[in-house]
Amino acid sequence: MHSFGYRANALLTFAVTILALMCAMASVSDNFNSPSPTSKVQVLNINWFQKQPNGNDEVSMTLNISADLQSLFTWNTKQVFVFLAAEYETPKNALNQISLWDGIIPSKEHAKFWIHTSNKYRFIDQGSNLRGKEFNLTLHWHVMPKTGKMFADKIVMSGYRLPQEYR
Amino acid sequence: MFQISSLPSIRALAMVLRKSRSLSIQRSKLKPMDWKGQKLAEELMQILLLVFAVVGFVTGYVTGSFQMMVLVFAGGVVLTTLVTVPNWPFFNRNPLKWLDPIEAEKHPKPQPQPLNSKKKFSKK
Amino acid sequence: MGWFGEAVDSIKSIQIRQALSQVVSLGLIVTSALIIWKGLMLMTGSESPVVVVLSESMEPGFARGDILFLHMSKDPIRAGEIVVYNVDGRPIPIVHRVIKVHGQRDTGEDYVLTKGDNNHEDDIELYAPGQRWLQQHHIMGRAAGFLPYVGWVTIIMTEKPIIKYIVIGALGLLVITSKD
Repeated sequence: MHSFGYRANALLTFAVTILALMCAMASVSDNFNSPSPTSKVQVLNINWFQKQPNGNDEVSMTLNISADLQSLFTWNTKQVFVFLAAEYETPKNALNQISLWDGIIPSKEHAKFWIHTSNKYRFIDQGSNLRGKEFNLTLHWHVMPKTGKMFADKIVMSGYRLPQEYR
Repeated sequence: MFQISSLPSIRALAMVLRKSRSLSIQRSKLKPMDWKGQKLAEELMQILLLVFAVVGFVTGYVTGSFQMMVLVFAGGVVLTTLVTVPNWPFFNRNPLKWLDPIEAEKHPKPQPQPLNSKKKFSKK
Repeated sequence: MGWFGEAVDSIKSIQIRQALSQVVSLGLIVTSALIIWKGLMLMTGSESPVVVVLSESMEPGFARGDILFLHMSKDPIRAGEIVVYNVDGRPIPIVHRVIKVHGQRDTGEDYVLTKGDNNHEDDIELYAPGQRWLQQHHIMGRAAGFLPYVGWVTIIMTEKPIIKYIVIGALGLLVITSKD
């Protein structure tokens, strides 16, 4: 039998189901976005380069990071988390990734940026392999949506090298 | 505005309604919906919600604002609730014709049973 | 008219049948919920395919009350991924981002350091005493998708158990008093 409560319940259930569907479609619409981000990083200065008492190398550097990530933003984007990682290999480790700096881009207007900073997180090796080490600086980003699937991608910039001797 | 009619069938309807437990108790003067009205209300609810969903999605996508989509849809939900949930008179255009009390006395009542809502009546 | 006589006779059997069918439909609801949960576990390969965000350590990306859809694969863990991990001795899993990875060549093991986006320090304080890295077996899944606000229901039910009892009591009452 139909009653007030029955109709209200049916309406609410239907409305919630439709809302879930709309969110799913919004997430799917993100797939149609073809972004074209760019970035450039300069190592301005190696501040110091030491071997720690525990035997691990550590280096501190000042970086100049500039990027344009505006094309990553869609109507369903809440924020973009961006970080710069130094990537290199050693005899013991096939891959090392050390995040040097990260930031949160809350909106499209902030997505074209230029920043001058020293590394936010300590660049420490598992061992003493950093002298003269060649490494890549990879700009990673993580697009966090308002609902649905998250996207992550990166730009690899190679050709950086640490000094041969400690400073 | 509710039409106050003096037809005896309306009075009989009111009497049977008060006795019957299966129809919901309305505090207001709104009468419950008839069968055709119920079907109309359900279909209207589904169509309205779907329309607002599509309109909301398109509005949000075109304006590039997720919030727009949610707001348009929320407004649509409220509107649909106001239109389809209460027992508006236009859902009661084909009212059920209950038996006159005099007619009902001609057919003796069965033994008291809890399921009197399932009683069949000869006129439809 | 003979219909009434039959109806009188079959009252008792209708009551029993009704009660039984109510029990069966309740059982159906519970088991189908279980099937969906287990199915999700299989599909995503993770022990806990959906988690609720409990702290503000990943704001503004994830707020309290959001739910995360997890996915697990044997792929190596890489920097930037948002992982859900368990620390020995802590009952509640933590959802943070990987900021450092050292992938050993010979064992194939990854040593990982995590940090909440909104935290000032990395997670070393949260690991077991003496532990400086996380490994593959600590990690329950990677966050792949996200729905805002939906997890508040779980948070309220966990933090104020009285509401859980009220809701279950009300549902039970509804089932018993409904006619079908």
